[in-house]
Amino acid sequence: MSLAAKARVACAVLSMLAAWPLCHRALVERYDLDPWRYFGFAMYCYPKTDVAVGFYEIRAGKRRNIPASALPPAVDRELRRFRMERRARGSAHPDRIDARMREAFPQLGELLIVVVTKAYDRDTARFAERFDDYLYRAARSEPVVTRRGFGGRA
Amino acid sequence: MQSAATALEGFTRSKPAAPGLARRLLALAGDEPAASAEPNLRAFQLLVLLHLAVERASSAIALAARGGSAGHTLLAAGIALVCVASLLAWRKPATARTATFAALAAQLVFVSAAFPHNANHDLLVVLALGLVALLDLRRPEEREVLLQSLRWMTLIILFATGLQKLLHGTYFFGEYLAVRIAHSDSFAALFQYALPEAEFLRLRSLGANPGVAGAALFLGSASGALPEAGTGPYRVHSPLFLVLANGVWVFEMLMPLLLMIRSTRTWAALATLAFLGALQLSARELFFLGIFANCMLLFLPGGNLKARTAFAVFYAAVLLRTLWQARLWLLA
Repeated sequence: MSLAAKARVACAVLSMLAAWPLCHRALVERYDLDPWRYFGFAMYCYPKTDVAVGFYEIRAGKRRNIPASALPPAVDRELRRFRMERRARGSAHPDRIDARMREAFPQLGELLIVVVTKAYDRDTARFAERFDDYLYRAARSEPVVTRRGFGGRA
Repeated sequence: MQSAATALEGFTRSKPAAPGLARRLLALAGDEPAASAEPNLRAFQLLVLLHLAVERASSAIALAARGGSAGHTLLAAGIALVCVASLLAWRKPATARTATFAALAAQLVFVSAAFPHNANHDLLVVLALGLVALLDLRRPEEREVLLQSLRWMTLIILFATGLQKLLHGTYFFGEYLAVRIAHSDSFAALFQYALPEAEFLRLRSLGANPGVAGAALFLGSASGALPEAGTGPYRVHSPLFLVLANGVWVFEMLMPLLLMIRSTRTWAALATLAFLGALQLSARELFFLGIFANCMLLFLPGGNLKARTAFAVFYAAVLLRTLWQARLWLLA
């Protein structure tokens, strides 16, 4: 490869590097991504978020909590993986947790997974919680999603 | 006929082709021949390989000590071994380029395996290795382009860190730093001197560790648990603190411009290195500090070569710290 071609390659790579932070900012806003991730060099720009997950079985219209201590190891592993994924991408769905739960509890009826995201809310300058309810009516079904609480990161 | 060909060859030799747009753009980042000298760029290459070997070895040690899965631990150990082998292969100029390609491949495997949970400087390492692999530093004209490209990379990243703070808007009222002061001892340690006492105590009362103050905070952690929902507000009104908070992103966006101007380059590079060092009192991002300081030294003639010993001591200390932490994890 000639030196001119190598210089063009270097220029192209550097141009993409220069354009990426603006694209990154737009993607963070659009898909609720963690600003610290995806190589946008937006570390120390926004406080990190925390994610908690609750499980409820719904039978005959009654909601019964499934405590964390009752979760089998396979669900627990999936839960840890999901919490990491959710912190990186706020739009991630807990579909795989539903699948693991149904493998562990074949008699499970409707499963409600409540994902609580604790994040800094710039409008109030306080920490706030957002609740996302994922209602799985049967195995491998699309969840019914309901969002409560503050609007998002920014 | 032969003499005509010789004459033509002589003509083309005496009139080299004008550099293209790409080379003219790259040349804006500087053209000092001393800085693109082979020993300095070889030192830069060595320090990137040293950084990578220590960081990947630290990842593998931490993963093993924390009881990661066998598959992940083996992959991390394999990547670390390739990086250490690349570092050793650097000693011979004939194998240094192959070592760079091997290290780049290992880092790409790591970045893919860890995505999206990577540190931002993982990309910096990929780009630095990619540019060193693309441009052969044994050839003077390629060295010049390499130095310019690496400098541009550094300038863009420094500017991006400031731009992102501006776009996210959490420094205008000092909010981001206020959150960290409340919940992280190491941030409180540095900024306690920039806040009025009442404001500092108010912010610390929002966190889990309000009783600790003074120099003891420097021994604390850079991270802390998030508070209950409703905790706040985290806006600060102290003028001095607001100047400092906004000064961070202004500095990060201004310095790249001053680094491009030859007359201000040296002091801008020194100021940025001092700024990076001061930030580490709070942020404790040692790997980012190591690789970015190495890149910043490219703006000081012979900087990387002169700092080799200091970097060797720094990375040895970082590795010892990892081993100490691994011992604590194993004992826990």
